[in-house]
Amino acid sequence: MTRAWLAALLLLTSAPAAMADADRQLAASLLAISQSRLPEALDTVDRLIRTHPNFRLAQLIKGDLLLARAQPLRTLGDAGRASGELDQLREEARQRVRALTETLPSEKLPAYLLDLPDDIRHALVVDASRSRLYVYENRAGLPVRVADFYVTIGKAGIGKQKEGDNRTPVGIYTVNGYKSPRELSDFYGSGAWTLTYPNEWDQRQGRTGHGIWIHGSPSDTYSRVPRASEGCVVLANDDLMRLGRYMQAGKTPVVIADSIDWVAYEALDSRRAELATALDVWRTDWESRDAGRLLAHYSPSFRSGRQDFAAFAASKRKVNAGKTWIKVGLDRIGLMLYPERPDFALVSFEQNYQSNNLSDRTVKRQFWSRENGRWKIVHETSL
Amino acid sequence: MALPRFFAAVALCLAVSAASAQSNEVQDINLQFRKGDLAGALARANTFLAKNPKDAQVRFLKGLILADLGKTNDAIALFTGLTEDYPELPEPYNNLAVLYASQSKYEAAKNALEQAIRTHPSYATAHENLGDIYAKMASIAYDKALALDSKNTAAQTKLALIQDITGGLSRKPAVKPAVAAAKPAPQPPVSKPVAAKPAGSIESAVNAWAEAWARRDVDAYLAAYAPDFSPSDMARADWEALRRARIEAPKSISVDILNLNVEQQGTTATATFRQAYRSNLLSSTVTKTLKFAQIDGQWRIVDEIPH
Repeated sequence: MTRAWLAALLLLTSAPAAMADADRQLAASLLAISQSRLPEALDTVDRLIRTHPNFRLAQLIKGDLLLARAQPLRTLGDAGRASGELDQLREEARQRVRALTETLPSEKLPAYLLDLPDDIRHALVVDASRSRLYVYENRAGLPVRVADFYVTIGKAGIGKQKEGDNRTPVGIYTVNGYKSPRELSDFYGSGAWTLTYPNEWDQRQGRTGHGIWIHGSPSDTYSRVPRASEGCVVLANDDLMRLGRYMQAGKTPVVIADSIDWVAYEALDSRRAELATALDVWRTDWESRDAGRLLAHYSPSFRSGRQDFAAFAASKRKVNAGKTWIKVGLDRIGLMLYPERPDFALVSFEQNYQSNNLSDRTVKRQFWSRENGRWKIVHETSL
Repeated sequence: MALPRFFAAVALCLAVSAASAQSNEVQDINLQFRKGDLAGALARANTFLAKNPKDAQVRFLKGLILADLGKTNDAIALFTGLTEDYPELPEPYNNLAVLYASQSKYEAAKNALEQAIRTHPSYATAHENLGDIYAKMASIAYDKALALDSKNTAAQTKLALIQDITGGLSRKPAVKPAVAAAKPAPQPPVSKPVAAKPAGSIESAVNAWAEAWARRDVDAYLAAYAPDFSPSDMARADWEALRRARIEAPKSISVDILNLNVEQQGTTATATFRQAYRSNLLSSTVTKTLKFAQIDGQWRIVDEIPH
C-alpha cells in the first residue's frame, strides 16, 4: 500500500465534514478495490447506489466488481460498453481519487487571494486541471480552505475566447446572482449562481459569450464527467446546495485557473506587500498634485471607458492644476493576482476623494500589470 | 508475500506410498519439516527421492520445504514437474499458483488455478484462491486506470500453500495456523472491578501508547500491543514494518487523546477516544477504540478499531 493511499485511508476515517457522503463512499470503494478487498468495495458501492442511483461512475464500478468475481478485470470500466464517455468516466474516477490521495500542502495557498475586504466572507478557486473547486474562508484577510468539490468544466477545456467555444473562462469573476430551480430547466439541477463573465478585461480582449454559471446537474445523472459543459462550472446537486452557504451574491469572488499556482504564506505576504505598497504610492502621488508623479503609475496602454492614456493624462493635468489640496482615502481594499498571469492583478477599493473644490466616494476596479519590474495601472473602472 | 506454514496430516487416501516403512519415513520427514528443521527435512527428502524418484508425496513435501526456504523458483520447478507427472492432482497446481502469486505473476497463477479447477471443479481452495487472484488483478487494473502507484501491494494477497495431497477431496480450505491472535475470553455480563488494578492504569496505558508514538519510539510503541496482536488483514511482521515506516517517516509527530472514555471488565478494558494526530506530513482526527487485556500484569492492546 502506498503512502498516498494510507493518507487517503486516514482522511476517509477522519471524515472531513465538507466532503460529501457520496464522494467519500466512492473513494472508499475505489480504495477497497486498490487493496483487493472486493466484497467490501461492492458493499460500499451498493450503499452508494441505493442513495444515488444515478451516480454513473458508481454503477460502472459495481459492474466491474460483479465481473471481477468471474474473470480478471483489465481496466476500470471493463464491464462497460466501449464508448468515448467511458474514458471520461475513468477520468472522473481519477480526478475524484486524486482529490483524496494528492493531499494539498496545508502550508500553501493559491497565489491569487492576496487580500480580501472583511465583508467578503469566502472566495472560490477553481482548478480545472484537477476538476476541483476550493472554498476559502476570509479570516481577517488570510484565506483558509474550508471545503472543496468535484466540478465539471467546458467540454473544450479552459480559456474561453468566444461565444459557443464550449470553454470555461480563465479569470476573476464575481458571483452576481442566483437562479432557483423553479426559474430553470431540469438541466441546471438544484440551482445556478451567475458570474460576471465577460469582465471588463475580457471585453477589452474582445472575448465574447455570456451565461457562464456555477450550477447543478440534471436529474438523470448524479455528476457529469470532467469535461462536459458549454463553459459553465457544474457540481452535483447536493454539492451545489452545500456550496450555497458560502455564497454572497454581488460579493463572492471566483478565481478560475487552469492549474492553481500554490505558494507558501511568506510568498503571498511579500506579493501582497509589494502590490499594497504600489497602490499606496499611487494614492500619495495623487495627493501630491504632481501630475507627472501620478501619471508614472499608468501604463501607456491604460484605458478607462473610452479614454486612452493620452486623453486621461491631459484631463488629469488640467484637473490637478486647479487643486490647492487633494486627500485620497482607500477602504475595503481587495488585492487579487490573476490566474495564469503572475504579473497581473485585479485591485478593488472604495475611494474617498476630497479636494478644495470636489469630494466624492467611488468604488473602483483597477487592473494592474507589472511592466519592466514596476506595477502599473492598465485599466480602471468606476462602478 | 508471507507464506503461512501449517501442519496437516499426510493424507492416506492417496496410495502413492505403498510400503508402511516408506510411509513412516514420509511421516518422519513431515514431522521434521513441521518442527522447522528445513535443512534436515530437505536432506532426508532428497535421500528418499534418490531411491523413490517418482514418489508424489515426498516430492510435494520437498516443494513445501523449498518454498519455506525461500527457494521459490526451485519450488516452482518441482510443482511444475508434479503437475506434468500427476495432472489429475489439483494441489500441485494450487501451490504453483500460490508461488506465482508471490512473484506477482498473476496471469500464470490464474492459469494454474484454472487447471486445478479443471481437474476438480469442486475444489474449494482453488476457487477461493482464484477469487483472490481476480481481486488482485482488479486492484492492479484499477491502480493502473487511476494512475495510482501499485507497487508493494503483493503483500495483500493471502494465498496459502496447500500442505498435503488429498486429490482434491478436501472441501475445507487451507486453515491458518493456530497462532492467530488469542482474543480475550468473553467476559460475563456482570463483573466486579478488580481492586488491584484501578481504572486509572488504562488511562496511563493509553497515554504511554500515545506518547511513545509521538516520541517516534517504535519499540515502545509496539510494546504497547499484545504479543499476538495483529490486524485482520495483515501479518504481524508486515504490520510492524508498516507501523515502523509510518512512525519513522515524519520529522515530528504529536498525538493528542481527547474525550477518553474507559470501560473496564475485570482483566479486559475498552478505551474510546478522539485521536488528534498531527505530523509534518499529515493531520487527522479520528475516533478510535483500543481494547486492552492484562498480560503479565500489564495492560496491552489486543485490538485497535478506528470508527
